[in-house]
Amino acid sequence: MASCSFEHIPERLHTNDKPVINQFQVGEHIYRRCTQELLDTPFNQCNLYELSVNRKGLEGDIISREQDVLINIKENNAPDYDLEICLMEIQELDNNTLTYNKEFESVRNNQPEIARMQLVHDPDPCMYPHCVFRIWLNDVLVTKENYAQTIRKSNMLKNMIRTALGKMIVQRRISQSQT
Amino acid sequence: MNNETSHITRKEELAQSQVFGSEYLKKLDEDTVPSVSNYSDVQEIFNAIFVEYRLSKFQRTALFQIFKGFEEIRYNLDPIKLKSFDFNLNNDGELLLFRKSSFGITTIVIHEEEDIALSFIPYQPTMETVLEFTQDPAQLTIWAYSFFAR
Repeated sequence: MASCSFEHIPERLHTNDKPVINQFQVGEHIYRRCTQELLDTPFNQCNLYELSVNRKGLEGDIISREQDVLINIKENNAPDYDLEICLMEIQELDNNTLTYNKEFESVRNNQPEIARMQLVHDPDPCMYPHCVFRIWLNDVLVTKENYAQTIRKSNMLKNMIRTALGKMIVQRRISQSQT
Repeated sequence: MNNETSHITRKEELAQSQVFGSEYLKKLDEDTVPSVSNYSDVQEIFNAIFVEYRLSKFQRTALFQIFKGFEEIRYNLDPIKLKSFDFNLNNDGELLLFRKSSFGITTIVIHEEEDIALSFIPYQPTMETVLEFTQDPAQLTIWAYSFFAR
């Protein structure tokens, strides 16, 4: 992986040669930034594809702090995002693989539909703890480009996914910069 | 209005308790969040949503039904139950009505067509999560009660 060249990113967050950690832990915290208006319902407004979060890390191997999710990794010396932090907690995992894979089933226009939501550790060169919730509809990965043609009209599945994400929220917190 | 008067009277009686008066007041104040914040009338919220958003025919029909339920609560049941709530139209054109209480967050999602959902996500994991669906806007008159139940 390319190395991080941004000066404002702490060395501890550089990915370098660190491994991808495919497994998660029940009780592990994940962090998502959002506006204050959406702090109570951060997933009601956003489109359901590639939902970025940071993970805290496994017990005994903490890889990020809560505030790290506000660090801007888009450009060098960029100021932190002036946003709030939504604290989430992983509450269930596949017992065998210790990964997060959740399926949702529905019927639309008399056709069965299956959505799958997966949490993946997806390190960025400048943000090792970066993860992403990926969503598949009938085995097709939902992306920004195909969103309108895939899950946008699957109303029941979207509600199920948003509810599952909402259940993971344990605390809606004002960022330290606001205090 | 009788219910509001009795509520105020009861609050004053409980505040007289030397031992627990402050606790009673604290609890009762937590419960008295503003009714339909920033508006004095359910009708004003109704109008504001129509003015602010371009809704589909299905959404307009659904909205009529839910506010019919709100009016029933306000005039026939207990106006104090008509607590503050928010609304917005998300990027998918879905109209969301949502409120938070000390127990969790209740949301009604009215999609552009066909589907309406009611969800309750509790803060305590031991409480049950609710997620219900309907395609019948008339169901919303009943769901209006569920919206304020928790």
